[in-house]
Amino acid sequence: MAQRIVVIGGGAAGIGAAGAAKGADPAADVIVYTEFEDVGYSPCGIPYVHGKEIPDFQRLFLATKEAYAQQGIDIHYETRVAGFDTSAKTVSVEGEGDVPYDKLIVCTGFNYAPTGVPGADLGGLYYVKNIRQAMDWDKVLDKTRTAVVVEASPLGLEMVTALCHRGIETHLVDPDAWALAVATDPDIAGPVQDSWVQAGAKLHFNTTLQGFVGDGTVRAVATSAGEIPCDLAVVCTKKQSNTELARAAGLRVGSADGLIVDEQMQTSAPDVWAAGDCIEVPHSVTNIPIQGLSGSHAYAQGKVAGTNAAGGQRRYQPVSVPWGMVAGDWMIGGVSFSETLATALGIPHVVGTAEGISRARYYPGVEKVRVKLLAEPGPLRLIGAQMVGREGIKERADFLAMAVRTGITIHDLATMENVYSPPIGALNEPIALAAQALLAGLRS
Amino acid sequence: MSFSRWLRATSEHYLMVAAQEKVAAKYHVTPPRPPRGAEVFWLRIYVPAYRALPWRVRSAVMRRLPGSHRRTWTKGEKPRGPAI
Repeated sequence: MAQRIVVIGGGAAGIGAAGAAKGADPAADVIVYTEFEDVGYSPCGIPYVHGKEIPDFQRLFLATKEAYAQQGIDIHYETRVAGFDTSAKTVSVEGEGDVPYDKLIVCTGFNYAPTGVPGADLGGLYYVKNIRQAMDWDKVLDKTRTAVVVEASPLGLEMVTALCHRGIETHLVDPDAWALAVATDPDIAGPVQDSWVQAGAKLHFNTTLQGFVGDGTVRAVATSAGEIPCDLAVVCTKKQSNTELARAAGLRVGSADGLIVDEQMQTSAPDVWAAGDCIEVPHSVTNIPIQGLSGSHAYAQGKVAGTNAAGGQRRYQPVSVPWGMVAGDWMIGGVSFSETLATALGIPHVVGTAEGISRARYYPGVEKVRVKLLAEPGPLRLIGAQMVGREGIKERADFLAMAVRTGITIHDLATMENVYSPPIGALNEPIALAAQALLAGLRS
Repeated sequence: MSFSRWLRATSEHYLMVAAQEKVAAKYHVTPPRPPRGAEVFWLRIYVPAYRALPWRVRSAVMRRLPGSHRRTWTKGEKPRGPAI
């Protein structure tokens, strides 16, 4: 008899898990429950439709509903799971009753951290998540003159950029001293902030959100620096693991507030796996668990969970978290630790920074690339990096993430070989220049 | 919220604010605003006490907190010598 694998959640992790489970055991009955109308789209693309870089929302869909049905994945749309019982091995589904499972994969994603301020129930507060709602909000943006983005999180940076592109007067309210302070340093965030100001944005750093003001619909955002009148507020607070169902079922949660899993994505309960924003995984440098990673992490974790739930063998690795994005006129990115984060945790480190170029100095379109490397003192293994430029940031972040994972040192990077081809690479690789600067700093 | 979660979240927040003070000074940008009320305890007593501990001690405490890091995570075997 075919085993039944139930997946709760239809985001990147859930769809990755369902596809991998079907791939590992084609005979398995794979059922996905999602409370939303759609699965298999890229919510990460929503800010770029709002910014008009992407012409329509349809492009964000990866596959049709028919395609999933043809793969043998039974997706129950707009269907809410009320709970699950790991002893009885059942999932309680609204409208369907108790559904038995052989293997369960929990991919319940995230919720935005509550703002905890008065007026949080007003209309006109936009939480970017669901594509259907985003389509409706996009029409609202056509009539919006002034918007406030709450918090300079990764999504907040993307939304400020998108709203500026759209010609909307945009205010950013953030309690930290600069944008994305949890991941970036001021020398990296500075060019982004300057470009926002040039685009007309008003930046309110070191400013605390105190409330949303309005009568039914928000008309202003109250802050420690005064009220900002607005037509709309985009709430971009931290992503928190949505573990409500799992906690109720007795699954263990760690200090990062995500479900505890092992390298196979197996939870603390037998025959239950989990993946995506609802879990926490160890950081490759510190071995401290972290939560709230990217869509690519969620999808990869889903594939691991799905394969193992179906009886296959796949392992996940501790993460070093390469990241990158377009913000303002710039690309920024990095891996693992910024100077700020390393300083916060008290991790001993040395720093080297250099400014290189993205192409041959004479080639049209050449741009500056600023690279900062962090290494542990002594052996000088790479533990973090930060970059700002206009091209080639993502590829460098991916490369540096592998360098962190494999224990590559600053000595290795200072003598690295690099591609030299005038349209795509300069004689001197900016990463190598930063490593050489770090070594020169130590010598002096 | 469990005590370990509260401790980690609160500790991380104030350690980040204190780090922004330091890094802002290095790069000559506007620092976070001065602490008020209970923030004074965290920023002027807790953070210096945390920083006074050696990294090995801090790391050992963090690793004792409950979490995924205490489950099985196998390090991949790396081949040695030339590839061929």
